[in-house]
Amino acid sequence: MTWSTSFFHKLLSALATLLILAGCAGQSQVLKPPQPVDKAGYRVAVLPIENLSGGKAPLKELRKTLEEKVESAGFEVLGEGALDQFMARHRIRHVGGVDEESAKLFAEEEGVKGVLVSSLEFYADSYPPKLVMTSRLVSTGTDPHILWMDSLALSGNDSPGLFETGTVRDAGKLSQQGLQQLAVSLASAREAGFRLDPAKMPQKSFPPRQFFRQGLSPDKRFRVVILPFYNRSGRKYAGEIMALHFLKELQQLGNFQVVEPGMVRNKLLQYRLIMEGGMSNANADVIFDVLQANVVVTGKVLEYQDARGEAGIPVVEFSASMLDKASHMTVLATDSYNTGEERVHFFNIGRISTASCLAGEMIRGIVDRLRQPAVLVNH
Amino acid sequence: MQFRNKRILRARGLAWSMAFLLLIMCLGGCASMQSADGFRDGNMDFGSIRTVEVLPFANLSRDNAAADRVRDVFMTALLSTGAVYVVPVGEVNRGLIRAGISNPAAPSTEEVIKLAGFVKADAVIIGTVKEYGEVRSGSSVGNAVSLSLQMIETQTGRVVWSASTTKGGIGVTDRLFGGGGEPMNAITEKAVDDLVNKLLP
Repeated sequence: MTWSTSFFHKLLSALATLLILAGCAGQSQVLKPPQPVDKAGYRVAVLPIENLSGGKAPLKELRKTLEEKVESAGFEVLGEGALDQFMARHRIRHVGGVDEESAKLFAEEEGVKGVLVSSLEFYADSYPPKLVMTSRLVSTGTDPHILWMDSLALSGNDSPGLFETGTVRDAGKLSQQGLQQLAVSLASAREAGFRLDPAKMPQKSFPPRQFFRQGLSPDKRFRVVILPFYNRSGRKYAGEIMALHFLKELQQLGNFQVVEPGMVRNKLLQYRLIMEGGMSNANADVIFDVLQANVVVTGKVLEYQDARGEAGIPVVEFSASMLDKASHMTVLATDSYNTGEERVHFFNIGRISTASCLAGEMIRGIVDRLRQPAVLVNH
Repeated sequence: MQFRNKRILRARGLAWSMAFLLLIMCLGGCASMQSADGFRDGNMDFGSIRTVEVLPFANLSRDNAAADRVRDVFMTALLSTGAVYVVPVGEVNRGLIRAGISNPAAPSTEEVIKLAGFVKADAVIIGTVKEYGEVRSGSSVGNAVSLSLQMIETQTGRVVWSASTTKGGIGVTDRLFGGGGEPMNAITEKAVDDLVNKLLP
């Protein structure tokens, strides 16, 4: 063997390795199908997807895919026809939550153990395709509560890899990947008995711009009501979306039991509570009484801008406060503003491509502060 | 010869003075907007103020949401000092409706006293956002925030504290290299911190 042929072979093998590695780039999101759980059938109802995207989206197709993924993850899914009949029979129109009455009826009439509520936050099928969705499993029966909650924020150019081999150009493929992720998360949560696993919690966060906290000790338990945020941004449904983000992150704290938003909505309608311009103490008293809560979260979204196209940068700005039942005082006040390119130093590394992901990290920054011991402030 | 040396020395001195003056003028021209003005009632015991209400700010800027943005940041900043308690926005709005105050950005003395009857607060803070957003000077662009606040004691309706601040603007680097100045978020925070420091030194 001459020197040149040996070098040529080495070069070929190096190129082949590179190509293989390039092919693997950005494939971290492709998950193996979840292994079906052997336990006795856990019957769930997959509600139609609530559209908070403010635009058109293939909701039926997404729901169908989600149903399939959930079924393949070992859950017994209530058939679409049966669900439609149930919803028509009980005149259930709101699909963004489950109230007490519906939860009871789901258990009694359909033998359903959990209701999967999904909200679509953002959907784009042009390049780069994007899918942002939040799902939660609500228990049925007399005391409905959130068993599991997870969200996904995927963009086709999240992991471009070498020579852009990791980019996803097809919105359908991205949806398949994302909904598979959700089903895997749901199945693993069920296996863990719907208990929180701190190791699986995301670590990245943005600290708030301003922060005030009084009390809210991590060793005390709180039942918290999250009201839809007052929306001053140009984005439709930004208030509801922000409330969902708070719900997901506060639920992770462990000592915060968040009241199911469907129950909150039902009580707000029942007691005709309209809170234009903020929540007064009188309104808060009614909420505390009818929902047996001891803290209520409210806030304002000033900016909720999703990244459009390839070069767009998401921007989120909001303020939030928490009112305590016992003292009738603000026990948490916070204010945040961040953009998706704050961690970028070169080559777009560290860029956040969706407002959802950014908002999640911003709220995680607040929640991280709540994990620390309380500091008493004298007023 | 001696006379000639004296003339040279005098000319050199004049040149140095001119150069120094020119430098001062250049630096003056490059200076960004900064201000430090305010009023503090010497007879007022600020330690007795435990609860304050922050009324909606007047907005003189082009951004419709500027007053809301600045008010939110200011309220949280004031609360986070731990020195005073800030009444929640919803409770303030309820008080304004009950007191029948039509222009909360500029209430009269009687209206402030009436409002205090509904919402238990020791003082009321009113404010005006004078500038919020992009400012231009020739081809240079920068962000600026300008706001003024007043604190009114609720028992007497007297103004006990007043201050204003302006942050941002077009700096030396913006004039020389462009770049658009500091982000709005950062200068809003600076302006609010400046006012909080003036109120609670």
